[in-house]
Amino acid sequence: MADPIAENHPPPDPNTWVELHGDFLFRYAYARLGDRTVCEDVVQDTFLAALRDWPKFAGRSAERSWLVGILKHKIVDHLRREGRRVAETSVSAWSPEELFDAAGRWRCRPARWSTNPQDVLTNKEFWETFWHCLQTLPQRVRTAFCLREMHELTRDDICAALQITPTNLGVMLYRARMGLRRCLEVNWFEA
Amino acid sequence: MLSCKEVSRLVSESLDVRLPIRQRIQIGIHLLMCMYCSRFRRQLLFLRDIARRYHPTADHVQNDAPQGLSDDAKERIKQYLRSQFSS
Repeated sequence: MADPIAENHPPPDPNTWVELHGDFLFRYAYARLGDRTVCEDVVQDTFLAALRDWPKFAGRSAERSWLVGILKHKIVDHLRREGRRVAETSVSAWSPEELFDAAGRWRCRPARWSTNPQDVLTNKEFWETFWHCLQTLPQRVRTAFCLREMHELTRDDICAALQITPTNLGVMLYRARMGLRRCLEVNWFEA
Repeated sequence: MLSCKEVSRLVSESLDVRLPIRQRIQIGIHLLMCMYCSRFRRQLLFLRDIARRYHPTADHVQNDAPQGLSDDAKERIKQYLRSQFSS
C-alpha cells in the first residue's frame, strides 16, 4: 500500500540539498569535531542516510531540523569510534590541579562576574571568546562537555557513546567546567 | 569539613546526578560559609545556561573557523550522492 505522504513529496535533489544545507550542517559538525575532513565525511554520511530514509520522513516536519537530528547521531557515532583510541594526555591550561593549593583552597578565588547574563548573550565578541575557551580544552574533555551541555544527552548515553565509565565522565565534565569557567573569567569578565 | 576543591568537584557532580542527602548537606553548609564557592556554583549554572544557548552556526562565532564546505567538498559530496542514487 503506497504511502500517500511519500507520494506527494518526491525525493529531493541531492545537489539542492548540498547547496541548501551543506554549509549549515558542516559548521554545526565543525564546532563539535574541529576537523575539516572528518566533518565533510560526517555531512556526507548524513545526506546519504537522509536520502535513504526519505520515504519515512517525506516532509513530515522541517527538513533542516530533521537533517540536524541525523547529523547529531552521526557525530556521536564518530565520537564513539574515536573514543576507542588512546586517551590523550594533554593538560588544559586551567586544570583543577592548578586552580587549588595543596590544602584545597582556591589559588585564584572566583571573581564577581558583574555582567548581566542577558547582556552577553547578544554580544558577538563574547561568543567568540566562549568558542576560543572551548578550544583550550583537551579534545575528549571538550567532547564530553558538548555532548552533555549542548546535545543534552544523559550521562548513560554519553558513557555509551564514548565508552567510558560514569566516574570518567564526571572527571571530564569537572575538568571542562573548571577550565571554561576560569578561561572566561580571565578572558572576558576580568579583561 | 570539605575543602573548596572537594566542594567544586561535588558541585560539578550535582549538575549531572542527584547527590546523596549527606553530601548535599555538607555542600550546603560550605556554600553558606564560603562566598567564593557560592559564586563558583552560580558561575557553573551560568556556564550551563550559555552552553545551551550556544549556536555554533550563527554569525557570532568562529572568525577563524571555516564558514562551510569548500567548493571541492560540495562537488565530491554531490557526486557521491548521485552515484548512490542514480536512477
